[in-house]
Amino acid sequence: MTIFLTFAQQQSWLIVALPVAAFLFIGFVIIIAGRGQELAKRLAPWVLIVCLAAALALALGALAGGLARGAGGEVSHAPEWFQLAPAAGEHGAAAPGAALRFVPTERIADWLPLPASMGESFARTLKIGTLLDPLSAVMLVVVLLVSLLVQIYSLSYIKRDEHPRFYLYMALFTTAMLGLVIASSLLQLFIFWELVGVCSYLLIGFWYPKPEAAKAAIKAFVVTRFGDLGLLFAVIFLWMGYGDLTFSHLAAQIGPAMAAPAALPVSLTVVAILLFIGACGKSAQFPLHIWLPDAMEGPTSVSALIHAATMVAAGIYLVARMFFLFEAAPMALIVVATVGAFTALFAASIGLAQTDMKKVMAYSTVSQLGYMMMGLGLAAPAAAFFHLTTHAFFKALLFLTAGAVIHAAHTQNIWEMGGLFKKMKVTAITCLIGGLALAGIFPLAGFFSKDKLLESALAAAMGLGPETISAGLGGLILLMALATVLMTAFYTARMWTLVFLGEPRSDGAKHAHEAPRSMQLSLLVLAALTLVAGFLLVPRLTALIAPAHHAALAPWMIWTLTGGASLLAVVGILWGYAAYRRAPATEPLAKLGWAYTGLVKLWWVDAFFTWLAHRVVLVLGRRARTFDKGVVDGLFVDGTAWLTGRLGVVMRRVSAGPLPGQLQYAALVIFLLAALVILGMSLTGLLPLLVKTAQIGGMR
Amino acid sequence: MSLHDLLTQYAALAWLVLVPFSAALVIMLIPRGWHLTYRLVAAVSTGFTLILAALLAWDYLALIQAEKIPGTFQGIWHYAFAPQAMSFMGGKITFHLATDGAGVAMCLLTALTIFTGVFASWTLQERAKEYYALLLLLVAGVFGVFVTVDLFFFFLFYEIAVLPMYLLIGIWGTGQKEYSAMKLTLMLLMGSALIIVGFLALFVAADKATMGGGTFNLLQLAAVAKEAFADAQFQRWVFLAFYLGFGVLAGIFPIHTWSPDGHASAPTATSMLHAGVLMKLGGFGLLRVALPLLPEGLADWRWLIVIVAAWNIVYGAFSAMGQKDLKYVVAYSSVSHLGMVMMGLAAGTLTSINGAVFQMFAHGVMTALFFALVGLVYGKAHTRDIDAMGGLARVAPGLAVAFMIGGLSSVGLPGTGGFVAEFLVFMGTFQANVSHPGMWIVAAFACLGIVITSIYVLRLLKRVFFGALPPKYAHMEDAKTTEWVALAMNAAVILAVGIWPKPIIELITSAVMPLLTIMQ
Repeated sequence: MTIFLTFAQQQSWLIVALPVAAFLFIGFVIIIAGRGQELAKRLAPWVLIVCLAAALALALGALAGGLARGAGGEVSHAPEWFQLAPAAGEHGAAAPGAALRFVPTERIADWLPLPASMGESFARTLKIGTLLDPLSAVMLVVVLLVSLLVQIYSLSYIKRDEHPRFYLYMALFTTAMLGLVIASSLLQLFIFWELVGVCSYLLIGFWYPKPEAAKAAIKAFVVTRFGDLGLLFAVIFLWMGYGDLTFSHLAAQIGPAMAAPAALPVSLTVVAILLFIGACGKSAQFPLHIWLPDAMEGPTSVSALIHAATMVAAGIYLVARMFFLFEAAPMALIVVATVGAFTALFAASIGLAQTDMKKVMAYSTVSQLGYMMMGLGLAAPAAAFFHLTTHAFFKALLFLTAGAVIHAAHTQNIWEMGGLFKKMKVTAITCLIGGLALAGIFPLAGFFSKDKLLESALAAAMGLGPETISAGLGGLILLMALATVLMTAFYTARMWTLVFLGEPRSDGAKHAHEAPRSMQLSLLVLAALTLVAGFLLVPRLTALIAPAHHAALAPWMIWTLTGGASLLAVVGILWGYAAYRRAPATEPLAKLGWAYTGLVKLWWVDAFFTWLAHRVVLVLGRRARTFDKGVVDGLFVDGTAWLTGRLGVVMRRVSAGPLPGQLQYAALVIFLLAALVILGMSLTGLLPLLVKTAQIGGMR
Repeated sequence: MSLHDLLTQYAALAWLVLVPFSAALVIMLIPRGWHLTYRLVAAVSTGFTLILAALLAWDYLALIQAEKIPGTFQGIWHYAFAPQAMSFMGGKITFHLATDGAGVAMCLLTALTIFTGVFASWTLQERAKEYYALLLLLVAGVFGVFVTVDLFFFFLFYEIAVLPMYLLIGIWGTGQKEYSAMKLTLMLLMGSALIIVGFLALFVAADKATMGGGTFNLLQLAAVAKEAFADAQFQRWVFLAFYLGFGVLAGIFPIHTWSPDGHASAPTATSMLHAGVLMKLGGFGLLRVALPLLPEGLADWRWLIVIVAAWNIVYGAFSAMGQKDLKYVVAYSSVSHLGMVMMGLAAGTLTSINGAVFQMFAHGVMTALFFALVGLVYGKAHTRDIDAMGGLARVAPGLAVAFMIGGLSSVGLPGTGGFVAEFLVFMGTFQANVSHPGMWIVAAFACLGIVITSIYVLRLLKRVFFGALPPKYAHMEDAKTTEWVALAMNAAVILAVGIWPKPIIELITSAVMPLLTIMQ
């Protein structure tokens, strides 16, 4: 056993290598078997599933290994920056029971050797490697667990004809995601960050003959890439300033007490905000959230894995990973917290009025990611990471149940469903578990993690948060967070009621039937995880990544907050249930008037970006084309050719004409040319040079 | 006898030039109509250059590993070949072949491009004999530029590389081919005129400074550069001549317009070779001649070059977005990407120049792949109008995958060569901010090109390969055996240098480090 744990820790690159092997193998089988062949269809899913299961075992081994070494009291070779880990007892309520310790493992290799530039003492080599610390070890397990369950689910969800291509992309995605998580340097994280983006693009456009799918894929890629630009700048600035992009090196060099190096052209706050812009793109924060709801054009199992549980959490992961940078630049925390809280509220409000089951969940994902971002901004990375983990479980569960429902009812519109509870009991109950967890009802996972986030907001409201966040701003954030709780409960209840209760409102819903066994299996496992993840091990593991920053609040305050938030959630659920129980013919929300229009129109953010893309960017492209053809090419190039030709004609006429005219022309031309040359030379300073050269020549 | 001695003693560099050249002659001697024979001669001779180039790269890397590259400018030149018999004007002009790491990398690119180019044009029927002969002649010229250190022969090879293009486009082209061929040739000749003026100026200045010891040899010029080219005005104006002269070939704004028309009209293998290799001669000329000899000139014009290059990147990307013809999109994307080369060279840091040369290599392979693909799509769909296509991934998944790999490299996605190149250029240009404050703003502007590029590449992919399949393409074929050679090799190299850039970067760094030392 110990041998396995050590092996898993030392050879953690294998966790990434296994899906790579699956990817290569599936690709190879597709090529040798040709298209439409049985072999590829039969093999592809199982190759990936087996590889993922093995990788999951390794990831669990690596996690257990790190903990075992920590428990053994081993003197770690951990880099100094890891002293962030909490000492026993420091945590109070955050980590119940004896505090765990985790000993990190780091492996680094040169990827792109770049020698030192002139006058520098250190090489600027770009490095890659693996880093196992609590953050990456837990995240690896989460990614692999959800991925494995989604692959099993997809066995019957994706058509057999599409298996090879689907599992090929999925293998690539899982590789990229694991590479991102295990990265030991910011550069490597960026590399895999871009790769998950491509996989997302490929999988959103999986049904590419559908124009909407092809369009949504492009939108997702371009919008996140806009954010990536911010991350790219941050990476380059950090590289300029520190030369080495490994996290251990950066964390040792960046801190509140340390001065920024002179080579850094901007302040650390700017770098942190640029990094955050990257996170905003990937984690769909306002205003770069617009791609995520459209991404629901992809297969639902893709939405569950990529656009709910893992890839969209990469932004949160990035900020948590680079949290030392934000600690050193606390002004940036204001931006993070505000954008996060606003996104949570904003997206939840849009979620209220959505009619597409997947879109409700998409906006809910945006909103929950906003919560996590808010937690990070309030200097509570452990709480944010806790919520990331529980959210991965319950949101993946919700999406998979949505997939089962859509599969059965042949529609995504919740107004065309209804009465499905009787026909698909397993799906309905697991969906209820997921929904209640999302709303934050005790004792489901979402309750505990959301509670931790609200605690950090309360602390901020009392002025106990990060120094830069004033009590007023903290209060505003707390209010937004609590309003979000109410809205979340409401739209969850609305969705569940309309889908599962009442009478079927379409033919599809009438003839619906329960999902196949392999799909049910995934639902049940995820539901079990949602039931226990809030209090079993997960909170202690996620608390390892950083101590809570705010001073401990008085117990009565925490209880009041918990009680109040739970009350809000219950009110929201009952309200939603009461309003939609009878599936009214007109949307009750329509009574809101202009606000309802705003909700339906997605607060006009999408419209603005559509305008930007079609009326500005594409038009600029067309203008550039005509400008290049007309002005640069037509006027200058063809113009020169025309002028030369005309000049030839004129000269021919002159040289063929009578002598006096020729002489006049010649005199005029010589005069003009001489004037031009002298003028040009004196303007450009060539004349003195020529005179000097002539003098030198004369001396010889 | 070690590999290195073998390559040196048996004049590997001379063979690199000689083999394509004599293959061109051999093809001219083969009777008309023996199509397979031309192809085989072309494939064998270019295959030979590919093996030779790979051996050179392998050996040069071994030299680097063994730390036999001293790090001085004079010490990086290897495989010297300078026969006494080919020395003219009392040694002022010598047929002196030698090359460094960057030259070796470029030779590898050239050999790869021509080898795959031969396969991409395997099915060409019309006047195949003259076509292959001209193509091989052109390649002999390109190899010559990369391996010579004598500026006289540099220019000679440069012209050999440029001129066959006129015939290749004028005879085998499509569309308004006569116009395009003439425009391309005239504009490039204008550049040549500036270059030869620059070379002569270098010669004369060196002759003056050394009292009659003038030379066209780059190494000897570099040795006397500090005294001979000390005059600031001299540096400024001669550098400008080189910038504009070589810049034509590198597609700098506003003298880039020969490139889209030329590429659109040229036949497949010609486009591959021209965009893949020939356009790199511009950047390479600056790297080889202007940077080491005229560093003050670079300093004078740095801001102009960097700003024009940034404009190239963004403007080229926007122009590519507005095009309707597949070939024009690819051609304008070259204009955009070559801005990256100029920006990296002018920013003048180790990282940025490394990135620029890497971009020459990566863009070369990528654009060769692109033009091969466009040729194949055109050959099968009989149109290059983007709006007329759609859904081709259904019938031609192989083409779609290859196009995706090329496109993602163009976008600068990690895992492809394009990423390494762009990343290094941007990092290096940002880094130049330390000595030239404000440089990062230009670089940041250029980075906008990344986003624009992803828009036009993905829209192109969508409109050609995704969406609904028009019925007339229902029976379109995917790529076939010989065509696969061209696609698979280029795609594999794009991925290989993207995932493991170390060897290429080491070759390049070994040349750039000493360059920076003498630029001090």
